[in-house]
Amino acid sequence: MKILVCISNVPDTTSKINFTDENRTLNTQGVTYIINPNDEFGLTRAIWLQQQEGASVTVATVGDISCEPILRKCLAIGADNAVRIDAFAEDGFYVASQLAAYAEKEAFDLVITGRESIDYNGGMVGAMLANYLEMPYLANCIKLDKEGDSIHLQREIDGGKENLKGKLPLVIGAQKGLVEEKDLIIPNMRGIMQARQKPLEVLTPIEYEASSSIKSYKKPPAKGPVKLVDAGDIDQLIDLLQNEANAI
Amino acid sequence: MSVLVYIETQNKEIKKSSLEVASYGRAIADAKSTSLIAVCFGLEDSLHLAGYGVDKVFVIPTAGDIYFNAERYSSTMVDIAMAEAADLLIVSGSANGRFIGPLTAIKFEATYFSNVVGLPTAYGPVEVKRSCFSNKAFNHSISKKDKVVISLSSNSFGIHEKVVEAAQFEGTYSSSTSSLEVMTVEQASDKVYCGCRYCCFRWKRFKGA
Repeated sequence: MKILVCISNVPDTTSKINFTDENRTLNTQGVTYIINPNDEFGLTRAIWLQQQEGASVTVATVGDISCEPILRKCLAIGADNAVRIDAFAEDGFYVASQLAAYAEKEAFDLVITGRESIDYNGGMVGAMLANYLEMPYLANCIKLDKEGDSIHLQREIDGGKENLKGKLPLVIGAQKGLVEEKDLIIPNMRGIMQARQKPLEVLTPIEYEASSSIKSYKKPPAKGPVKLVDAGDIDQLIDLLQNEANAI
Repeated sequence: MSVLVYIETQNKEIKKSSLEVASYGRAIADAKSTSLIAVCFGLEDSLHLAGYGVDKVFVIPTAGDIYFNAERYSSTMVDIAMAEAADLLIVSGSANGRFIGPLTAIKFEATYFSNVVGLPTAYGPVEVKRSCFSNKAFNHSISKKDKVVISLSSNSFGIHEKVVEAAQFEGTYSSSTSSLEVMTVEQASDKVYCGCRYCCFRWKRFKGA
């Protein structure tokens, strides 16, 4: 079984987000980069399949040389080899097309992407990749069990779970639940040393135009003071909830 | 060029997030001086949507397919969008909406914008404000394609009633070659018991459960 885990290099959740170049670019000064948490859940599940089924695990990302420490970390966690497509990840369409061009040649049985990246929150790469590869896709995947030829899956839906059955090949959008936070693998010294010897291939991107561009960024305004509503003034409460909070 | 919205249902009733999507779609249709089309699957009384500004409702009979099927739903939406010359498709920010959104976009050869938090600021090309960095920031994104699929963030627009004359049509349900099959759906219970002998025992006895 060949597994591809698509990795995104994202700012740490605790990083302060600021912008430069007239709010057109993320200020990377002092920002620590991590493996996108949803991708890490997927990678851990892939490593389990590697241990149980003898699967081979490849990690791939679209990005410049600054993404390589993250790929080395994936190799230290247990991935067999890594691929970096040397391009600026302009948007989800562009990333999906680059990954699809690579995955098509390798004929993977299972492709794992994160549900969404925590930087651009696009949540589209998995679905688009599946469409390019002509494979079925399952978003918000919280369980994946292989039983012979069939795969038992679970998807998180609003207010519940959906149980599915399918076959490989397959693309899934991983999220918390596929493995728990306590299951995430912290690379040990042996893994870190081995990662230095594992192959990290750098590929040239294919010609493809992104479908969107970002004009500018803006930080949300500071929160205003708490509005206190008189206990008897139900009309004002309803008005605020409906027109200001858009909650009802 | 019309605007098309995906109306999500649960237990044959329209979900609240879809009423917000319909209201949002109406506002865009008004801004573009065009009509608003809704697509719903397995819904009996769809004319209720006329109260939220929907001009045309396509009801898709999903006999034998009782659960949400992203592959078939997205293909059906794309077929209707092409037949009705729609250039802007809107889905909700729910789990199903975010599942169907990118699938629809790629089949429709459209740009996909998720987490959109307001009406487009421009229509030629479409420019939207969307949240990013896990709600720590917003960005203004511009489409490079003529066709766009928007996933509206929940509670970002609100529900606005607008009564119009609506016409109902029956659409054709697209087929699928997907090997994935939904077996069961587990809805979370509103009764949450931790199973202890203190609170749960007393609460169950109090409720007669």
